[in-house]
Amino acid sequence: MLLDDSRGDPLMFRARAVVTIFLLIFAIYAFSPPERKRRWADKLRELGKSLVIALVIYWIYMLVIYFLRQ
Amino acid sequence: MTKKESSTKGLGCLVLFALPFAGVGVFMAYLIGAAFLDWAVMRSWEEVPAELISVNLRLSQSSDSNSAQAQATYGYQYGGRRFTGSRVSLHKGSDSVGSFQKDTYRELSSHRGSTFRCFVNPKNPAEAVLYRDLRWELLGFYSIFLVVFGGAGFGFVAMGIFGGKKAKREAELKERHPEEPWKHNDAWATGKIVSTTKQVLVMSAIFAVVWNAISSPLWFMIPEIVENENKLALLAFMFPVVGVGLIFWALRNFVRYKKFGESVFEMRTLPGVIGGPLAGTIQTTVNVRPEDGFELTLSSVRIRQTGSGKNRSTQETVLWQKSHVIARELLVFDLRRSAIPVSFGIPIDAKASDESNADDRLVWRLEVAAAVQGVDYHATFEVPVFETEESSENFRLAEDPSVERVVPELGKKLEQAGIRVELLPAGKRLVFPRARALGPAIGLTVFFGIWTAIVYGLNVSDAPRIFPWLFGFFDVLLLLGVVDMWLYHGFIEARAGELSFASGLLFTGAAQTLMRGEVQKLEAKRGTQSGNKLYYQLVVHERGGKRHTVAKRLPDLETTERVIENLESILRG
Repeated sequence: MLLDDSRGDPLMFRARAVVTIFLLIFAIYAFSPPERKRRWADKLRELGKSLVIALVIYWIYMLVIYFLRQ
Repeated sequence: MTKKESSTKGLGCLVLFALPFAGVGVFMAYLIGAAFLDWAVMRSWEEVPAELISVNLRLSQSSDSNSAQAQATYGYQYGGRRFTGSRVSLHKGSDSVGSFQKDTYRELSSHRGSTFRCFVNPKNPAEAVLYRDLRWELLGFYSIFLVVFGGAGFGFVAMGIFGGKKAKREAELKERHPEEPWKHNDAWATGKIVSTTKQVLVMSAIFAVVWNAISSPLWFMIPEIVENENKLALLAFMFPVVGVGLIFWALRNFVRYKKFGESVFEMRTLPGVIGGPLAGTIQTTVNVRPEDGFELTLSSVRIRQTGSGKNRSTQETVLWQKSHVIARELLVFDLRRSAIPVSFGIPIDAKASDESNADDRLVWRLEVAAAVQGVDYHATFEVPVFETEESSENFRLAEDPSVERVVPELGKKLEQAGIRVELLPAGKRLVFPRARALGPAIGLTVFFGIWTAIVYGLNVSDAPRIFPWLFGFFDVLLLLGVVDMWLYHGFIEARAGELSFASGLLFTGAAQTLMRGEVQKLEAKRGTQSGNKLYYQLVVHERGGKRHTVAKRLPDLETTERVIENLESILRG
């Protein structure tokens, strides 16, 4: 098991938990029919674009706040 | 008191409530404007040597902040005369924004007893200042208050004035058309209803701006939080995460609006009739070509506002919902736009649109969704539905030849919903296994987990005992819901002249059998709501008045009704 020997090391536990989740998502994706795969990729690209722009807007906003603090 | 008087009074109260906020906004605008004006004037002041007589840092502590003000008195000569000045900065007063006051005190202290410089007003040499630059951090800080308080205050005032005009217009229309309530609303009167796409975009953008403006002072507190290693205070960083989420949401709405614009629902029947049809065409401004057709959903939603002030919340309950998929739109050869046909039948026992009480409204919502490449097409319309002379108990929706409905085979639909259909020698058995609505079940379980953590937190904290008890009570209800979601199961068997069924959580127990004469009816009853999706239950009514819930969380009204029709036809033989 991926999470077995991670007791006592919280950082390793978190890292393994994240890897497990990603592996599960990838497994679901890999076993999906090609049609669904194409849709997922399209939606992911679309959502990713919006997320990146949202983060850039927030980053610019943080810069403004940062300079206001100086 | 008449309704009109009460609404005018309410609007007056709203404006009164908004005035202090607007006042803060105006005051902040004055501070910013005055600073710019002083700065413009002081640019022409002359620099002369100044002798610092005294330097002091005045600290004032309050529960919220520690503000400081660098103070100094200085002597200078201008036009052969000697003057004494005490103005340090262009901005007057004390503050805790940035480190200007402390830095200034430090710099002035190092020049104490030696020569520094000041800027003198040549027109009135008694006026002088040591620092004539604008403090952008302070102006930024004022701007936040200007946007939040001024925006909220003037927004409320505008809402009050606009709402007042709207109420007046509505009262006029009510007088003119007392028997036709759908004509009381300008958005409905013509029968051409615009989608809420733009409204949603504007709302989400305002929400994102206000949320981020309010949470921005948090960034001024970061050094303090990091310094004190206050782990609980780190939870405050949830606010920026939500802030990014809101920008993301507003962006998605913007992209959708840019891509599809606003759609218009042209009603063929005005209004939609209770015990009658709701029909028309949705006109889009671009061509929409989905692969899987257009999914149309009509819902009757009760929107209740509860609580007040910070605890005010909106609760939406879907009372009735029907959806279907249509294969293609009407203008398949027009590449510039699409026309989506709409045709629904509304049951006679449904409730009419009701906007008379803002805290308890009944809204009929028509939604159209289509999966396309990139952002999906989605539009929502608030449509009028009323009882009219045409309302009839016996109404049956006639098939519209122009509407090509995608009616999936019932067996396939049931299979998708996880329901097993078994053919018997002289009938049919439908088996409803456990945990069929997996998404809502997982959602509720996660919510239950979070809620339990909150109850635990409240229990170990110093919060008054009443809170863990109240939250705990709700947690128990949630647990019951979770158990029901995962474990409820059952079956129903229909044979000519006979109906058997059983259901339960752990075990179904012995099946109950009713003869044809004992069954009053089978009913599709409103069940669990998950987001805006409404699930239905299959209920058997016995002649004696006894009811048995055989299946829960059936995918939609149409499927449930088709199941019932199917079972009833077998029962009739």
